[in-house]
Amino acid sequence: MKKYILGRVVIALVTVFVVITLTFILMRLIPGTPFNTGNTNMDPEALAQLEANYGLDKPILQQYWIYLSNLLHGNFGTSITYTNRSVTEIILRAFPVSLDLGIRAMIFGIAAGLLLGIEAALHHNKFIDRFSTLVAIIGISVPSFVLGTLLQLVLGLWFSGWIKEVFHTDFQLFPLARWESFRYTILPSFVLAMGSIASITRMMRSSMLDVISQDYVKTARSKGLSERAVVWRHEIRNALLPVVTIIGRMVGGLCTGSFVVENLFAIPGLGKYYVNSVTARDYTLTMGLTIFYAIFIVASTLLVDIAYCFVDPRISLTGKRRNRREEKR
Amino acid sequence: MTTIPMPSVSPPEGTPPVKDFTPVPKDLQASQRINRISLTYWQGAVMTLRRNRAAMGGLAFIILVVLVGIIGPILWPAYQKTNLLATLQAPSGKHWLGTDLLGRDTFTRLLWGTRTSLMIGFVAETINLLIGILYGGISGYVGGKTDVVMMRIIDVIVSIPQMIILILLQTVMSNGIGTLIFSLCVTGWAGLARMVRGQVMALRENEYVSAARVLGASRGEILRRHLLPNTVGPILVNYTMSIPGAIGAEAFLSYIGLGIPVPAASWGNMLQEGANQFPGSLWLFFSPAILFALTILAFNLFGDGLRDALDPKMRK
Repeated sequence: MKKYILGRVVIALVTVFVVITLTFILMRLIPGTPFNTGNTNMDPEALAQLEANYGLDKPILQQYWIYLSNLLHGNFGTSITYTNRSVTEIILRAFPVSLDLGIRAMIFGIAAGLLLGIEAALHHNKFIDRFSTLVAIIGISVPSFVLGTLLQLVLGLWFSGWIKEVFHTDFQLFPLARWESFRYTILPSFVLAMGSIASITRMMRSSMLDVISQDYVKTARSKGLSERAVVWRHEIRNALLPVVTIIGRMVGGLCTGSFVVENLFAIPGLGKYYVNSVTARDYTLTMGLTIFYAIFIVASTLLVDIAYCFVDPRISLTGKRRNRREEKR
Repeated sequence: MTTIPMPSVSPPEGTPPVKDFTPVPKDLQASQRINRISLTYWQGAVMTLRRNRAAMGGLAFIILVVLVGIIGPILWPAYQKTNLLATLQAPSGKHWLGTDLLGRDTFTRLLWGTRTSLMIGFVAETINLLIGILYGGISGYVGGKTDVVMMRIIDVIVSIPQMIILILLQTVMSNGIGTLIFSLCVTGWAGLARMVRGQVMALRENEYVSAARVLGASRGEILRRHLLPNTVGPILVNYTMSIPGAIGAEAFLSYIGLGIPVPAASWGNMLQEGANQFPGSLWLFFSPAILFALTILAFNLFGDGLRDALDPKMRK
């Protein structure tokens, strides 16, 4: 087990290092410097002064070294568009909002996904099974920006308009934008969670169906255990194992989803800053946030993998995650 | 609490009396008779697939969309033609799906967008397929230290979130189809390579491979004739399932303002243009959205069916 964890940690560190180096190289590949894009009429002396200020006149390897040590000190550089605000400051301000949204979506996604998956497997080929298959298919085929826009239209605009007409009040149950009280969080969290609901439902359903036909379940039932005990202790507990692995990978998907959802609902989170920095060509902010995202995603995947290792003792024996079943379904 | 039907246990019957037991006369011809047509692996797979209505529907839709992407732009070439006198028009007889902010015909742009999006999906994933097969095949077949090194590289590549690579490269390089395909291929092949390697490793130990080796087949020949053909099934499934991912990545990138820039048309930038007009001119958003969702659905249904058909254990 120690060897497995150590190996995973080393790979995670190498991954982060590769992303950092790649980011640095790509940053240098952009023609010109942030201050000299080639078409400004800047005084050459002032330009040289500026570049010296930001250390851009030093040899490339030295710059790389400074960049690395800055990162180690938690200094991600200064934003170009938000003048005088460091990337670290932006992260500290916006990340909690994104984390809040992400955790809400995750809780909702896991709860709904498990419930649908379990019920579908317990009532195989019944209505609830069809329903959860439909949910999974919609969750996989409809991207978050389409689903989000659709919900904004139906619940945010039409439904609110109807309320206004009938009850003569401006109260909005599902506001279109911003991030203030609980009702503001419902739609964004749901849209963000949709992808996770779909994948967890699918996984849990197939995993449950797999477990239900196992011999030990038949044994448990034939020795007279109550239905509740069989379902909870023998079926659900064992079926949960492979599902735990995808929770680690969900983090990456949630980050990607948050880029879209935060923009759609005007939520001041990290994803919104990221997308804005990309469209505004704010290179330092893009690069800083890229590295932050990479570290965050790699670290959370690593944590889940290590946690999984404690849950499923088989891993430490074979040293390999059981990927087969989840790839098959 | 939910109830589950108990496994039906046939009531214990008394063992049949010995006197009633008469051995069936030996019929050598009957025991040799073939009751079912003997099917090869592929014949069986095709048969199972054909019976799967959802998968066949998916396949039909994919073929339809591909044809639309090829033929449509030839019949309706004027996707960039603007008409400032007829902007944001609702669907009508003249403009079947209305017009956009610059008076361009949405239907024509949708045809061109279909071509762009499908091309990105197919080209990027085909390149990934080739790289993945080559890398995974070599790694799995050569084995030993080479394999260890190659797999550690894959471990790292797989851990890099793909969206980050996509956004980073789109930021630095000029936007367009070429950049998009390139950035989809930088890390996209790793998953497939890992799978091919696993398959090759498992197959390598089979007797028929040893037999081929004893008979003097060269390494390349074994790889080409025995190992790769037997991994075709999983590779095909993986390929089908990965195309919607690439199409989705294009849509996502174009939607956030990277990816394919206007005046070129793709599903992603059409969705973005439609979202900009929100909540007015809904046809601008929903015509690409519906086509996009149906296409992704079709690929997923077909991929699911293909996987079930190619897995002999799933066959009934």
